[in-house]
Amino acid sequence: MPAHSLPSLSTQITSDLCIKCNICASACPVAAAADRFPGPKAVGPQAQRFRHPRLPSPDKSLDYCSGCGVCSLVCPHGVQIAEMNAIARAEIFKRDGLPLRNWALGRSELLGKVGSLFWPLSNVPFKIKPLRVVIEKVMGIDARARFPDFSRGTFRAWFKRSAAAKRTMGARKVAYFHGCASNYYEPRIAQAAIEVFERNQIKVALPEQNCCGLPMQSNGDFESARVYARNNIRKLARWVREGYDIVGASTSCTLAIKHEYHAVLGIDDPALELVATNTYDIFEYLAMLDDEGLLNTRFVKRAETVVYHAPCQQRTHGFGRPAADFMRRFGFAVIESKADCCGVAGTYGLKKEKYDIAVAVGQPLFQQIADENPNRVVCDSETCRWWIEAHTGKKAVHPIEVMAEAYRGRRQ
Amino acid sequence: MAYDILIIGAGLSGLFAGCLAARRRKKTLLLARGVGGTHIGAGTIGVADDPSLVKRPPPDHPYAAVGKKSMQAALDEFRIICAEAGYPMRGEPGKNFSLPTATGAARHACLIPETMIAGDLSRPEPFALAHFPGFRDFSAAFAAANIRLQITNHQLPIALPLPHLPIHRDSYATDIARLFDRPDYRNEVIAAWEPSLAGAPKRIGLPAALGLQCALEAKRHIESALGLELFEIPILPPSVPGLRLFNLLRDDFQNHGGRLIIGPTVKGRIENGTAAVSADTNGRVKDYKAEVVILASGGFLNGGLIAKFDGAIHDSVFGLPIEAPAQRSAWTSEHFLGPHPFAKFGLRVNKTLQPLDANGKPAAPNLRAIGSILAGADRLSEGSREGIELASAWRAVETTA
Repeated sequence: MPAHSLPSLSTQITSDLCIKCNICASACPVAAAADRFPGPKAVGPQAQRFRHPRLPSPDKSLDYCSGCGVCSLVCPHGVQIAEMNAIARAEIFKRDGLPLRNWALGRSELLGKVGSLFWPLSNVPFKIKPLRVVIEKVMGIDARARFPDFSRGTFRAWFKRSAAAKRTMGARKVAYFHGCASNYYEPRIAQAAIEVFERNQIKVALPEQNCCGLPMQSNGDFESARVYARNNIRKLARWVREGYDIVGASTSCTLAIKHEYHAVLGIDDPALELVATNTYDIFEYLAMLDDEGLLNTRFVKRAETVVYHAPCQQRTHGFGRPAADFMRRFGFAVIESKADCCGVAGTYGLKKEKYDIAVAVGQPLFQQIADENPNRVVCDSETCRWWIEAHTGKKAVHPIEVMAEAYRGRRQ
Repeated sequence: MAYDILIIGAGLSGLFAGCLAARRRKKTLLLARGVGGTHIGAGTIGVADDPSLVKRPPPDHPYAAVGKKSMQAALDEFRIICAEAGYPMRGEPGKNFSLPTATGAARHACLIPETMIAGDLSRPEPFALAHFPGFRDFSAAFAAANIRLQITNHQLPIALPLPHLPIHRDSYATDIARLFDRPDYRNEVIAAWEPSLAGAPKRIGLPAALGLQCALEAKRHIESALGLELFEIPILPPSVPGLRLFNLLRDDFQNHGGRLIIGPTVKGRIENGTAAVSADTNGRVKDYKAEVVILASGGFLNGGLIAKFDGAIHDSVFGLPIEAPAQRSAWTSEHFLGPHPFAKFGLRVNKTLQPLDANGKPAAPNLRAIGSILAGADRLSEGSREGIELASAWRAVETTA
């Protein structure tokens, strides 16, 4: 890997690069769906000129930004619009106080711990309609928003008993970042990742880790997000020093480590640089092994048509869509989603005042899925999968599950 | 994975080169830091206000490098791609339409979408311009006042109300275009416009926002219901006609197997006489291998050329130096709208479109430069911007055959 340093230009300063061309405004999926949001240029580089570090920020409309990051991707001049908005939002909550709802939606790790402890009872409250109506009234979490079920047993517990945990030798060493979703809700995805590593004789370790902090960050709670980020940096750095690559299948968690800890949370730390430059989205990692001729490519070919939605967080990594390329090699017909965002953007779509906007943002994707009518939708991000399942009735899986099947030669 | 062709830049020239390469079954990757000039252009193809520019270009003009054959072939293939996408471009090379701008001046283009055809200023039938109350990116009164200084078959501007415009913020042209994509919305519009059109001419110019996905359908729907002709006038960005071109070229490129990555900053370097490319992705710099690299990063406006405070100019990807007078005062002329020397700054190329170094030798045999980064043309005063983009893209892909 070529040496790489974190970008030095501070995120807010990039507003000076804006030439007001409105390319971001034309691409923003939220502005297209709702006029409550003035658009990325207006709340980003334009408003930034009126934000003084020691003066209150005047405009709350930027809270309608979902943080999908499409604006930052399409900007031809390098303005970090979405990142700028996330920082400005946190400033507002710092001044006005964090709503209980935003506090709670940021606590995915805490929720996961409590949920696993009281399984299966913990799955009941989210399904009691009258209770959900009360929660909506009191906290502003939309009663229609579907929550995933806690799994029976965590991924970490499973891993300790697995054969992979006993492997002592390996062609490469991976320290796996599972994130909250794989640990508490969908262990099957982390299990598929372990299965793929096993097929490639990669030694896997399970480092101590916390929630990546992104849910707190996108809910405007930067102080807590930084605590979680620093914990992760400390816990992961020692594995990197021992020659491990940090790999995760939750594409937003790995992006938080690689990009947002620095660009949004403003953490400047040599240990972060070490961790960030050695962290990989799982398909970025597998594509790299493949490029180097180190990947086991004995796939059992099988025909299936899927719609693949590369989530906005996956796009921000900037390495293209290797998952789609791999699936084509498995014999699949892959229809790539034309939508930039499914709408939910983490926890955005769960909020009462944003639920309808998020559904409207996702409509082009839901329509494409309805038109193509595949058996399954494939998507790298958990919140997107849950949202897509709730709004299309289709099963949504992670591409790593599809890859594990391709080694196995059958669907599970 | 090694590519046959790697293109840098997602403007008109980069995307068109991508389509041509993918259609020739080249393994093609297009990398771009963001989307490009299509979104701030008019969505039409201008080759030359004066046809003699194509026939007898000055020796240092990009048209001299690409040759007449490339121009004809490029325009032909561009039209095929647009027609296959259901968005045909009308007109023919060498014959210009004269069309009104949003300020009421006349501009020229030889290929234009059907949505602009009725705006041809040489037609004798009377016409009026319309504005949408509440939409601030186009003033019909302002444009009309200027048009009246030039021609006489023009009548007073009218107001056409649009239902359901954003109320919490200003409207973008894309807001309006997305509404026009919906047939139910168009029916509402037809009912709302009918009273305003009593006594109005049967030819109406509108800000260019008649739909993103189904502009032709929208135009024909409203025209047949109201018994008139509509034409779009390109306005401030975001350019809806430009977005349509971007979308159709992107789809054509991807449908033919082209790979597209938009977002990371792209860096190039010349190692042992060979152009090599990497992308500054989050977390790491990723190297990409390709037989041929096509640089389509644009001019000053789109970030392909950078002028430093010390007066040095270079291209933003490879850092190739650009010749320019040391005195900055020599970059501009006195008249704001007149031709300016800086407009011709850019990469000098040979007939293979290889950028040349200070000694007139190719900087790297596997490197090509196309579009607005090329030196020697004053695109604004010549009306040659898109002609250069398309013809150079075609020629560059031809040289890789």
